Amino acid sequence: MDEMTLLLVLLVVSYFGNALIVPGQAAAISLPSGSQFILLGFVLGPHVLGVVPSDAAASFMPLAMAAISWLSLVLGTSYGYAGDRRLLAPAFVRGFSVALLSAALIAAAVFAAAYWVAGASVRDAQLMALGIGLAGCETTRQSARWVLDRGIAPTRLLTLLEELAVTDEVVPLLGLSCFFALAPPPVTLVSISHGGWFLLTLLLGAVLGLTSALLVSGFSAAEAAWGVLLGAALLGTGIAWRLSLSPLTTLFVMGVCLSLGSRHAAELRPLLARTGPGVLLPALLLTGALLRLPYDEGHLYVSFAAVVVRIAARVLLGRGLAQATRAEPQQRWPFGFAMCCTGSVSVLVGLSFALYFPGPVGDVVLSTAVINGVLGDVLGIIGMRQTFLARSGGEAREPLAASAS
Amino acid sequence: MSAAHSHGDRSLFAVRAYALLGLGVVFGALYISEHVTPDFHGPFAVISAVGFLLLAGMLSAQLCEAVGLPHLTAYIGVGVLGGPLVHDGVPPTTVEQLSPVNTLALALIALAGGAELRVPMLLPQLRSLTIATVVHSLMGVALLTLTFLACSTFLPFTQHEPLRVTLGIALLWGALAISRSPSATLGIFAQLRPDGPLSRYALAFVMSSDIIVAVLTTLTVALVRPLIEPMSGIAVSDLLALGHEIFGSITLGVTLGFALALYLWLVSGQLLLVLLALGFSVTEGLRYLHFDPLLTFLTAGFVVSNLSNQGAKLLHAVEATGSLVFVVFFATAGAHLDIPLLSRLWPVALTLAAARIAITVGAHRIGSRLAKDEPVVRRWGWAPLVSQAGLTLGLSAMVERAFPSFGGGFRSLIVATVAINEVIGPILFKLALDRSGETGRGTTAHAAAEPAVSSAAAPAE
Repeated sequence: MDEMTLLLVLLVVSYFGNALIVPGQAAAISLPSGSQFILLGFVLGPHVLGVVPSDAAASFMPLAMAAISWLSLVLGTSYGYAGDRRLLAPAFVRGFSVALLSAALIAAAVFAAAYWVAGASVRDAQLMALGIGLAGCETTRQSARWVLDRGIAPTRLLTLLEELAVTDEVVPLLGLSCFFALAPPPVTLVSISHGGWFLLTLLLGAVLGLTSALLVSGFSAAEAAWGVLLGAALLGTGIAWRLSLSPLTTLFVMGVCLSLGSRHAAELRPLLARTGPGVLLPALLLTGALLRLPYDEGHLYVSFAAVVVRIAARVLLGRGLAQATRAEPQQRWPFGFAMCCTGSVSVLVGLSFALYFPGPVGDVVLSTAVINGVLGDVLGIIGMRQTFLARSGGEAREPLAASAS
Repeated sequence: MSAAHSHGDRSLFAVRAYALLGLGVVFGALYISEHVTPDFHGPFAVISAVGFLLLAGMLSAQLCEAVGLPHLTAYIGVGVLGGPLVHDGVPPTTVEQLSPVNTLALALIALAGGAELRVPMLLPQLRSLTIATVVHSLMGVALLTLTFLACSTFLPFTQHEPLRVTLGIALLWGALAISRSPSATLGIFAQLRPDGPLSRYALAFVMSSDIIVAVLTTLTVALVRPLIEPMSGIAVSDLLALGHEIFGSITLGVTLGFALALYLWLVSGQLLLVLLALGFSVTEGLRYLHFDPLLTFLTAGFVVSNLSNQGAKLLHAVEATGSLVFVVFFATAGAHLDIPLLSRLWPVALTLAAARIAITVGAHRIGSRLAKDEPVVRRWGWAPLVSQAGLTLGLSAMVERAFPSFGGGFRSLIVATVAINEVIGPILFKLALDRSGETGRGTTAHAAAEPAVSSAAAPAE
């Protein structure tokens, strides 16, 4: 398959992504994370059928980065919103803490496995720990949608899941910029400290976001802003990559600032969300084609440790949260499993690592993110069925205390 | 000054101030990133280049409106300023790598152009179009050939050639010089949404002249070959290839048009993605078959618009992409402009460009008088015929391939004159539409896509 054919395949996938998946209706995608598209890409990729050769997939790397950066912008504009409901500080603190704790536990386990079991160097072990930790610490937004789309009345526990899902992605997306800042800096004419690179990422995103907000305000309708948004997103992605900053973080921050600063924010959010499936599915397919499973025994240990610790951490944290919200006892353990659902953010973080660090480290991070995605789908769906579907006649929607406005 | 008037002025001022600020941020961000990492080269340069051209183009267009210049001028200007000559934000390698974007843009532009050509609009103009085509093709080519002959002693690639060869080259020049720019015409239409006798005439004439000039140039290449290369005769193969190209392009265009109409009728959703897929895949296939993408997509648009009732849907979908497509297409064209070449050839290029405008005005006046056109067409009908862009450059590349001995110099001169016409043409056309009162009279399929400045400016006008 040459590049043109691959492009057409991606456009066809995008077509079906847009045509079949209405944003907010995860039922059509069947799995919360969209893992089936990754698996399809993997099967078509160089390691199974070879329909998509590795060089063709690699030539789409900039396009893949632009696509996932755009998705990051989409996430940024709707960050902190559960539907039209704007969340308050306690929800943010909860989501941030759960994600940070998950990332720390996974990173510790990965570092231990990589350094002591797999015999990786300290630097490689650190990179894998950070990458896998960040890629495994979030809950996909699609998980709550998956339940709602099955006609289940919202409950407090479901509200909790939804709020965690829309607030915890700040950890992987901002953490990514710390990681890029710690990586070897580009050859520049000025000397900037690690902290400086991190701040520069935030600054670039903020400048682009606020400038876009200002420019969009000059248009009579939000639909007219496409040129500005697309231009700013591409410019931000290109500059971020040029300066070895994280494009995902840059565009996420841009999205948050755009959402905060634009008078059209309420119109922009659904408008941008509609582009999600059409961009996400080709990106997932490409991810699958770029995927190289760990070939080294040591790397398998690393992935295994990451998966086990992630599940344990999410289940325990989920159970604790369910208990804290006074959920029924029989819902507490299943809720922990429901929190195992990971999604596009994890895969995108993994893909970002793989693109930035081509080689064993990037491969391990990406493949572990994908394994987490697939396993998370299986365990998460079981957990969500047990928690919500088995008790669909349960309690009515009741917002968590002081979390909704 | 009324309150509404004052409010409109304030909004207008604010929007332009934002645009200026945004432009500063865009140029500043690109400038700093380039100067901090001067050794960066790679595919991501293309991504930031597209972003830069898109954003800076849109913002400059708002500023250009303040002084009455068309958006296309702003897009070209951004390309020149951001291009290799001034800012180097879009280096030459990046400009080359942007060719797939241009391919797609050209396909969408041609599709829109074909869809705009409706038989009920063309029929009343048939006599006028026929006379104009004949006058421009005969008188225009003859006078432009003579002008070139007069300038030939100043040109390095003709000054030592015998008259016979110079005449052959001059005839090629004459044929190419009557080419117009469908993309510039549609770009102006996308911005101003005009309607009236002048805009209908411009659309019909510029679109149909695309086919005429392609045929004329190929014929001229075949006919002047014995003059330039005495050992060779008239190349029948060139004519056969031309016939194959035109027939094949139209046939494929008709098929594509019916397929599109069927899709629009049965499904109609996700049209943007369908157009993207068609733009890339069909152009690739056409290149392999040696067919003309412009003619194929033009025919497809024409079929959808005239042989089905899906034309409005297609136009709406293409128009929705218009603001993005035209920005990238013309900004890239601006970045492509060879300013050092223009600075070397400017006296001859300027003379030839000025003569071309004068001859176009003269030929138009004569043709218009013969056809008894409406007064507004008689007065301003020449204005849309000044622009030249991609079509002319494409045909000059064909001449370069056919005559390598002087083709390089010839093409450079074409590039230099196209640079002048590309900048002046849209300004003149906008001026004509504004003066004739046709601006804004057309259907505004994407009125929402116009900046608020337009509505804010309305009370003040």
